[in-house]
Order: sequence, then C-alpha cells, then structure tokens
Amino acid sequence: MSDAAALRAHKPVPNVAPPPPALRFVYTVLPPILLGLALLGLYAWVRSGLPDHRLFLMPSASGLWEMAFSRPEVWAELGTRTLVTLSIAAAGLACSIPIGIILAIIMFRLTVMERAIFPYLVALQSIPILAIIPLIQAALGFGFLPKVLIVALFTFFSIPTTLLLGLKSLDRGVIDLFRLANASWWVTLWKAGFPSAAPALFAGLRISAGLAVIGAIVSELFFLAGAGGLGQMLINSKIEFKYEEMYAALIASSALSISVYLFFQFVGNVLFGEWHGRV
Amino acid sequence: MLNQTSTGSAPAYGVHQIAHDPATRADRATAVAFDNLSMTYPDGTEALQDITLTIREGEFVSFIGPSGCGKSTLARIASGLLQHTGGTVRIDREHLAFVFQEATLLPWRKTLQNVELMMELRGVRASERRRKALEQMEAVGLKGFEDRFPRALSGGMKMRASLARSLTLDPTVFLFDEPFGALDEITRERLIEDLSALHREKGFTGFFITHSIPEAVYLSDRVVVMSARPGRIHAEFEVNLPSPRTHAMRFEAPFTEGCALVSESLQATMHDTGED
Repeated sequence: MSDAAALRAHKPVPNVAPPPPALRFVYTVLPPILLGLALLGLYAWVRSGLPDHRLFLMPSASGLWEMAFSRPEVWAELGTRTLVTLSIAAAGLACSIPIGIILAIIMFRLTVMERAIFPYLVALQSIPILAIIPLIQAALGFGFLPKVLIVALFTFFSIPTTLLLGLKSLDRGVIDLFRLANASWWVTLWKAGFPSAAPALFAGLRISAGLAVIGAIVSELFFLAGAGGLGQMLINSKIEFKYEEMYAALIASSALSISVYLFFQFVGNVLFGEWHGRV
Repeated sequence: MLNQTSTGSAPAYGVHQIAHDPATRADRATAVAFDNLSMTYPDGTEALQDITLTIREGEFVSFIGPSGCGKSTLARIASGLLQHTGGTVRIDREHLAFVFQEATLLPWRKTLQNVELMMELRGVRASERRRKALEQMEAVGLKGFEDRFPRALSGGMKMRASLARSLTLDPTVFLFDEPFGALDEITRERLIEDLSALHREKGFTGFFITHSIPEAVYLSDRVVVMSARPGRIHAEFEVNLPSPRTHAMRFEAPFTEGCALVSESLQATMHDTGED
C-alpha cells in the first residue's frame, strides 16, 4: 500500500535528568549577574570614549569608592536624607492609600458615584504634576505638607482603580451565597470583597510604592530650603560638582524605591500568598 | 402477584408519565408550591410561564429540559435570589440550602472555614460551627482535608465541600443547580450515589436541576420535563424504583426504559420549540 511510504517512525524521547540543585541555583543567579557585568562593561567602554573634561559625568568605581562610599560622613548624610525621603514617601502613601480605598468603596457601592468620580480620576492622572508644583508651593509654602501632597498625587491613581477592579470581579456565585445567608452589604464587602480584591489592590500598591519614592525625590528638587532628603542631596552635590556623591544619592534612592516595593510585596505575600500564589 | 392485571394500579417498578400534579403524596405536607408562576425579565424575555407544581416534604424532584428553558431561573426564584413577576411561590427559605454548578468556595479560606461560612454568616457560635462543620465534612467523605485551600482540592472534592457547607444548615429544602455538570463521569456517578444516600438519611426535600436523564431518574421520586423558552412544564414522570438505588439498577430494564421514556418526552419538547 502507498501509505507505508507516508508512515514515519517517531522515536521516543527519553526524559532528561533535571540538573542538580547547585547547578539550578547557578542557572537562576548567573543570568542577572552576567547581564549586570555586561552593563558595567558597556558603562566602562562608553566612559573610556569620553574626553577628560566630561569624565565627571560617569564616575569610575574607584572614584565612587574614594569620594563617596569609603567616607563615613557621606554614609551619615545618605542615612539621614534617606530617612527624610522615606518619611515624605510614607506620609504621602498614608494619605493616598486610605483616601483611594474609601473612594473605591464609594464607587463600588454606588454606580452613580463611579460614573461621577471616575472621569476625574483619569483627569487627575493626566495632570503633569511637575508643572503644578509651583502652584502647590504658592498655595502651601515650602514645608513638609506640600511635598506630601505631591507624593499623594503621584501615587493616588492606581489605588482606587485597582481596588475597584478587584471588587467588581468578585465571583457572582459568592455574592449569591452571601445573599442566601442574608448577609449585609458590609459583611459581604468585609468577608468576600476585600479578600477577593486584595491581590488586585496590592498590584496597585506595588506600582504606587515605586512612584512614592520618585514623587518624594521630585518634590525635593523644587524645595531646597531646610534639611531635605535625597532629592536635595542630588541637587546640592551637582551644584558643588561632587558627582560621586550625586551617584551615591541616586543609588540610595533606587535602593529605597526597591525596598518600599519589596515591603508591599512582602505584606501581600503574607496576606494572600498561601491561597493566591506568591508574587 | 395480586391484582397486577388491573389497569388502574401502577406496575411495581418503572417510570410512568403521570397527570399534572397528581398529589401522589397527598398525605405529606407541602414543601414547595408554585402557583401559576411566571417570570419575565426586564428586557421582555419570557423565562417561565404558568408553572404550577407542588413538591411534598421529603420528595426528590428533578427538572430537566433544553438549555434556556428556565430551570435555573425557577431554582433562583424558589431560593429568593430572583424575584418572579407573576403568580406565587410558597417555600420556607429559613431552612433552605442551594448548591450551585460551581462549588463557589472562597479561595482564601481553608476547606473547614469554607464549610463553616454559612453558619458564620447566620451567627452560629464558633464552637458549634466547628463541631457541625467537622461532622458534615466527615459525612461527605472530606475528613482529613480541613486545612487544605480549595485550590488544592479536586473538582469532586470541591463539590463535596460545597455540599458539606449546605448540609451544616440542616436544610429542609435543598436546591441543586446542575451541581455535577462540570465533573467527569466517574466522579459524578459516585457523587450521585452519595447524594442519594444523603437524601435517604436526612430526608430533605430535593429540587434538582440537571441535564442528565440517568442522573434525574436515579435520584428522583419525580422527574419534571420542561419545554424551551418560555419555560413550561411539559410532562411529569413518577419514578418508582426500589430504594436504596443501586449501581446495578442503572443497567436494568425499568431504569433504562424509564430513561428512554424521559428522553422521548424531552425530544418532543425540542420539536415543539417555536411552534406556539
């Protein structure tokens, strides 16, 4: 028969033994390290092409060590300024998170409120916050409060939107179950809505976490009076041509931003990692 | 073999079409009664039309019909989740349980806390809750799975947890909306057998919606065939098979012939669709 020619034998494929744990660890850890080294190499290569009078733009590792990270006074300054920036970021989040949550609950409870509020949330998000900082200064002065307001504006949008999305995607069957038990709207919100929406809310909080530190630093760039945070240090060290210190401040602000992000990730994993899967 | 020839008395075993609402169990109290019930959705869709039916205490009644015939709507109206637009329904909703097609367990609660949920919402004391939840988990064969999250349970186990959660309410009326529709055949058969045993033991009134004819015949005292939208009662069958039902019974003539009878009736409703 002709189909004998069409038949092809497919050989079995034996299972490949999984790599030993040590090797698996190397597979996980090595790629980011290699990419990091490659980026450092690229940095060094670009730096080697710079004319001498522009070398300050890209400090060398030895320069960073000598001028910044080997000096206790730089560490002390980084420490105190990180705390200032952190307090601004935290205070901003302490405003935007509760207000965002309350707003989401109101919009969830009353569709008419969602219709009323949501367009303005989008509008708020579209405002270039940098452009209105002078206005905020004119209104609120140069103290702590205006900076907190700037952080709150930076971080606000993702909180009510993600929580509302989470609440709205509550399983219809679960709602029916609570209705069968004559549970009140508040009980349903507390025992079903919030736990179900928590993963969505925390996705929003992780976005806000990074933005909070960025917002705090940006706010400081416009407020050079008084004992400021890392943003002020960035400006000051640039004015004084201490570029190594400026890079140190940049590294510190990244580390702070990542820490705040990891904090929310950790809290989220404690709250719902067991049933929802860790992130 | 006395008087078996008399045409008036029903044969011993089998499935027989009966007149509408024959009150075969007239000695028992009414558990659920629909009287000329109709339901029209706000968009004008007529879901149910002139449903008149009485279910007696302890009776197990299955509803079968083409998709969209309003069987789920009828169950939701009975439970109070949905308001009907015409006629009346009489039912005791204080002692009612409803098992949906999905197990609808709360994924953030361990199985035991899920089984406790309905009691918790009704304000039952914590110690009492724990005791009853453990008792019902054992009754449905979930002993040892108390600390599992739902995502670590199989489909059949999730449905067992959902059953246990409903049983904690000591329901007198038990509504089921295609509870086993999403399960594989083997799991499904076991659950049907277990549910049949539970019904015999607890004596609740069963209101069971299904797409499966053998499932309906196996479980029920009565099978109601509904016609397509707007849903009406097309025919009723009395299931007179030995109790307890056995697995072997599924392959014997009274059962298979009964299924054929219900199937024919179902076919007839399909052909009627759109004729009137």
